[in-house]
Amino acid sequence: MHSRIQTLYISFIVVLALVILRLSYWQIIRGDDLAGEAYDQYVSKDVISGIRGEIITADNFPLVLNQVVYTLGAYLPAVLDTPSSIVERVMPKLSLTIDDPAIATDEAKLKVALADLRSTTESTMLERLGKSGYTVLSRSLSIDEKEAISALDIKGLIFDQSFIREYPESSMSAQLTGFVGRDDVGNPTGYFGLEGYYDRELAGRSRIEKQEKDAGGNPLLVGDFQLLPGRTGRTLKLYLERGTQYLVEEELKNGLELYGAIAGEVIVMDPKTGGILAMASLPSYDPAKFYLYDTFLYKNPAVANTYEPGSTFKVLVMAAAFNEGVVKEDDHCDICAGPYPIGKYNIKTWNQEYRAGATPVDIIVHSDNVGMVWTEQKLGGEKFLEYLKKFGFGQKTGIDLQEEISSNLRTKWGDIDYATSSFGQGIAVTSIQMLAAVAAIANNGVLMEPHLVESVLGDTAVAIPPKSKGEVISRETSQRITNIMVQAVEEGEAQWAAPKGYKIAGKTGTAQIAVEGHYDTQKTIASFVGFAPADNPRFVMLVKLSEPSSSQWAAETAAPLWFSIAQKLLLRYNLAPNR
Amino acid sequence: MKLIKVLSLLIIILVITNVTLTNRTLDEGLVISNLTADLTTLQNQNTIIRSQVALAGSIGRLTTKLSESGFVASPDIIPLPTAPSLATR
Repeated sequence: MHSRIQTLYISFIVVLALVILRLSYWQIIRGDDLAGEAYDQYVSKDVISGIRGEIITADNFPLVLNQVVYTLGAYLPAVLDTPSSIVERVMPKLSLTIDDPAIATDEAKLKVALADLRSTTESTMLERLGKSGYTVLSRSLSIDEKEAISALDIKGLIFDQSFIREYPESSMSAQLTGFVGRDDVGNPTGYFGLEGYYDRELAGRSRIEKQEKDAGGNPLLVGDFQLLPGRTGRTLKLYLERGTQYLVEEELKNGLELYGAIAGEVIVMDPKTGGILAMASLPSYDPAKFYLYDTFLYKNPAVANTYEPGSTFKVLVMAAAFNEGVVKEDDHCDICAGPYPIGKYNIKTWNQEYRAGATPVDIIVHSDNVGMVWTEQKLGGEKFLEYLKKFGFGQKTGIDLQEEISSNLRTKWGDIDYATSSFGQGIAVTSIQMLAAVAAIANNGVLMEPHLVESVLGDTAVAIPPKSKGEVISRETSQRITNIMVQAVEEGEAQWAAPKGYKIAGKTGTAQIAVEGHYDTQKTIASFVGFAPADNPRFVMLVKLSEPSSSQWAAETAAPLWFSIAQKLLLRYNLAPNR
Repeated sequence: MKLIKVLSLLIIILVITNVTLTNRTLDEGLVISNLTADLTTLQNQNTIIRSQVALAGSIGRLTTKLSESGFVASPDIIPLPTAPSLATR
């Protein structure tokens, strides 16, 4: 009897030990995991997406802002109607549109495409309503669509709010603003331009609310509550002026048609601050429907593409020679009587006309390539390279656009390289580099960093002060080279197009395009860079046209376009003629 | 016996206080919840109105409206110099 009791006792001990071991397993080893799972069951988490900051112009008009859109979803356990009934009632409330402009503008194609889209949307909805749990039925609904569907009072339908970017000026400034897409995990992310460069500032922070709730979903007031407050993204205020931007965009569009160019760029900058007042390029894309366009259009060509600047570069080389004192206004070129041989090459003028004893003024006014070789030889290769770097070539300008590239200077320089670079061939620059360098002449020799954003507005406004990159040439040199640029406008090939009564400094540039190791004799990049009024510049502007077909010369294409824009800008800035 | 009565009374008072405070917290929680919802709605309306105003006042739209109203850009704009003319010298 005693032994049976003892056995029973031991059995109890063993069972108790097993229970203790099992409980220890659940409570000690798996305790944290289970506590987490339980917490997930009774804690609800609400995430409200943060609103992305806006981009506004200097005159406080929005260039990019947000629009509320809704995602229509269905929580299927709560749905009482049949899938076909829901689809039948919801579909008429949806505004289906076709984005592709090729179809949207063709009535017959549009009708067929809309019918297809309607049929696809219906079948997708029916299929999803046949599943369990939560499902998305339609995205990007407007507030009107949301209210129309809400009025149907269908149980189980849920609307989630989100924001998309809207572009009220729906303009060619797409390559300036960039666009907002989605990253790998589906979060809104800025790509290219300002959206890409200032993504962290623009991005809003989501509001996350965690609260313990009872089985009915009601908050437990004595339960745990955590709140991570949301934050609206910061707003970017630009130097860019809405009116100037519109004017430039329209003029560029007209200029491209008039001169038959395949692409074009116009940049207007305040030389004193480096603030970009307008920046337009064509061809462009619609940032709201960026996915419909070729990806090569996403990059801003003014900062992401290089070109050979041609004769516009001459003013910089001459400025360097003046600043070093190796060339003066009354010096005479002693190699300008004819073509100048360098090795196996012959340097010629653009029109085969030669001016023996040409002065620096003659060289710039008549855009004399041989004269520029003479100037460069006076300056010397070492100083030539030093000034290239001081003017900002071979490095990024620092403009606040994501895709800016640096045009690297060649590492080995031969005599022919120095010679051709002196008149802007055989050297690659970006449009913004070229503009910033000429802006230094307009700004008494001081190079400014080009910048788009003037201040970042949030809880507190943070101004981004203009940034000087140092004095490249002296004030006196800048005035001397300005005078020559004024003469280039008034006595050069494009004098007929210049607005009367204004003192404008500028220079044309017609650069041949290198194709497969040689220069194409027909294709050119025509550009004009200058500033006005020359005595106290309000703006410096670069106009660049790629492969103009009406004429290959800048004097007959880019220069008239520059003057046409300049005339309107001078009016806009209330600058009256002064002579 | 007296102590038991005092403690019982204390417990009843504490229970009533607890219920009252919980009720008030619940009411205020609901008010805050409604205010938060109203705030979100107003912020959304603000976003929508800002967008509508921006669209209505965009230069492209204004240009179209002006053009439809018969306004045309002057082909020749002659800026007048600030220097006094001969007649006023």
